[in-house]
Amino acid sequence: MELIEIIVITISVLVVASVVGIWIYKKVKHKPTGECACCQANMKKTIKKMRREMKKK
Amino acid sequence: MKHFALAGNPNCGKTTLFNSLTGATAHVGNWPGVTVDKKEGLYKKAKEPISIVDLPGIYSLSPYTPEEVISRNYILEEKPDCVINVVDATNLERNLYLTTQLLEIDVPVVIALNMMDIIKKNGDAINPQSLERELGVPVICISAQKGENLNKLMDLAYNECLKKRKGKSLLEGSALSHLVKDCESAFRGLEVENPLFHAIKLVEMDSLEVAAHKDLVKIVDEFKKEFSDDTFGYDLEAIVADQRYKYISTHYSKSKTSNKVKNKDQLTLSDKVDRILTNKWAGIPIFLLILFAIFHLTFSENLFYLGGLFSELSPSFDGSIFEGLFWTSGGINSPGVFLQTFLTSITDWFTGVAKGWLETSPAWVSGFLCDGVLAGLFSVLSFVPQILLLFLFFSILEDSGYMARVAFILDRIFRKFGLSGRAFMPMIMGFGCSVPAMINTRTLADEKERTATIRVIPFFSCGAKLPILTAIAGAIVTQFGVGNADLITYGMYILGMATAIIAVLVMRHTSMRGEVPPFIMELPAYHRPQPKALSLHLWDKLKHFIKKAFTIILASTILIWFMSHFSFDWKFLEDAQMNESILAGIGQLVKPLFTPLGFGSQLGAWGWVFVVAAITGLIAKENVIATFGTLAACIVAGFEANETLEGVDSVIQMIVATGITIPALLSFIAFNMTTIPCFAAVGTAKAELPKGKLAFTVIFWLATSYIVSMAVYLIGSWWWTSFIFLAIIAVAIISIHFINKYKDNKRIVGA
Repeated sequence: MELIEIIVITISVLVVASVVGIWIYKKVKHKPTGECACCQANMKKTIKKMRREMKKK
Repeated sequence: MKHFALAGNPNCGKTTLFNSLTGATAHVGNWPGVTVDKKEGLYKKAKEPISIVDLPGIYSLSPYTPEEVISRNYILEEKPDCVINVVDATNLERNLYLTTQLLEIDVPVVIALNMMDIIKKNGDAINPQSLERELGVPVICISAQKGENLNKLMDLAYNECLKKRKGKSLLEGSALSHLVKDCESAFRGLEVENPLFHAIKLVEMDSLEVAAHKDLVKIVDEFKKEFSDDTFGYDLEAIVADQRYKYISTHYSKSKTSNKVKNKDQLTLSDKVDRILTNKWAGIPIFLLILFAIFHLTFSENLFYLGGLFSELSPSFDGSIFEGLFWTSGGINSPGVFLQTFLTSITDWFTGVAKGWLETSPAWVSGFLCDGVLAGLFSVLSFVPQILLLFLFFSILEDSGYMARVAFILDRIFRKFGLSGRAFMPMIMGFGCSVPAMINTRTLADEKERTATIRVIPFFSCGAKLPILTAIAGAIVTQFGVGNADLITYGMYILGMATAIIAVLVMRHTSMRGEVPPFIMELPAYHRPQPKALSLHLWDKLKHFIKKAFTIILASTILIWFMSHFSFDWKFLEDAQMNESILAGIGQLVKPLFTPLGFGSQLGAWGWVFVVAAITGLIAKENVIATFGTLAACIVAGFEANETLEGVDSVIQMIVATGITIPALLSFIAFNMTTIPCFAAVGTAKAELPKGKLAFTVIFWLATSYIVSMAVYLIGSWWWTSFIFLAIIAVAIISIHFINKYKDNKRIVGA
């Protein structure tokens, strides 16, 4: 196996592993995984709170 | 660290101020209701860092809408060190209604009179000192858009936050002042924070207040026994509101002076423009024409339908990498096609250079990097200019205030289908990305309307779907010589909207029956789109796209290439053997499911390519073209084509080589347009939909896309099948009508 083949395989594995790994990490830590993460931050919490308040009404 | 909150009416410029102070890039739009959740940023120019929270726009602190609940709870529970009340100076009296309520809370308040530049332009003037005297809190004139006086505002707010402030009632001397005092004393006895605010809310019989302090309601009830207003009777909330407005008009109107003697019947320029754009008959055709013009300027390869009028002129760049940059024999390139051709020329050149570098390396390395990874990435990235141009046009319409008018003119039509015009705003946001669009549905008060809107948002083609549309429209035009790319793209957008309307109609007459809530929206004034706001929109879009390209799309292209070059027994396959790969195996297995849609078993050995692309598209829509890009060069090589092209051209070459028909291609677009948008959107839908509605929503998306694309394929291939579909629709309508009638009768009998 040539050096370039080893480099290409290593980088490819790293790219795929990091994308999948980060996604799993965010899922485990309950962090937003979508592309619009800024919008999704605390979304569930806010909605829950909002619904609770609106129910009282 | 100090915490400041930005509070104010919708569309008064809070988010513009927030972006200017914090350097954030939050979405700004010229329509009320852009911000539906609180956003946090950091201001670093003060003596210490200040955390700034941009609250959703509200008209009052009464819990009529979710935004009002969010803002009220934040101010009362999170206790910011200072509230910066952003006031639209062009609508002073109406904006001060919220101010009168904020002043009742024990929190330092600073009033920022925004849009003072417009006041000056109109020849009017506001005396901030006079206002300050009347209100008893600092008032400063600013222009959030031009960045005027922002540092002074923050210095003022910082100095105020160091002082303690007691809530002040503006109802002193009114008929209710004694009742307010009694309630306030009761709250003080209970050691409740912000007693004045709670007391006034209790007097208003605010639903949250009544629910939280049931014991104190009797004070108000006792008062009501001996009190009745000549105009409002026992409606204390109306009396309080009336008192507030009376106070505002008596005390604060004098702060505003006008240099011009205005005739009340004289129409402003905005009114004159509105007479045409929001006209009952012309409004919708004008909107459709504008939409078509946008698509024409973005996607047309035959600008203004001039044909090959200038094809003989220089510069033609024949033989160079920029061949066909300005025009081809087919016609002049639209700005969108020009930019795409320019980028494609560069990416093709880069791929060629990379191939040269890797000439001596093993064949699989060159194939993997150039025909796999680079081809996949570039085939997606080459559409970035067109996507950005399309969003530039949409942002111009939004920022100018036109989109708010479209919501208004569409309300009449939407109402017939069971939605209010308010639902149009999240739908329009869906053209950008389904995720923020679904979040924006929070502005819809009715839960059924919200659910229905969330379900149809994916039918409004988002930016990620554009590459699919453009590449396949390009394939149809260039290879089959049929139609125009802009017309096909425009038609597909209209198909998505029509699907959404039909889906809403069905939902609102079956599982989501209910009254359409009234649509009240303040029409913002027209203004010239601001380059800063436009560039922020575009930058945000570009950033998301590039981030996605170098994460999920890059990882997908790598996986797709490996799965298409290895067999199940882990044997490396040459390009010509790709039909034996893992990817082909999976595709072949699922392929029969897509036969009624035109891109399944009938495509023979290569049907799996479309199936696999459609499946990878469920993760993120950019993956569809990335999959095509990764597979194209290898598949075309397998066909032993005379000339192997690069990038998007190779994708088109591959699509044609599979032997797919035009109706099947249109069906493929329709499937991707209307199916599950992406994983991120599914996650958002899960959070935004009421509990237990996600599973049905996902099934609904899959079923709708299947039915729509099947209809497109069958009607496109055999026109007479349209009668079968019409008959099915007629039976469905009649069934729904009779079922509803039966249910209504049953309900009446039961009552």
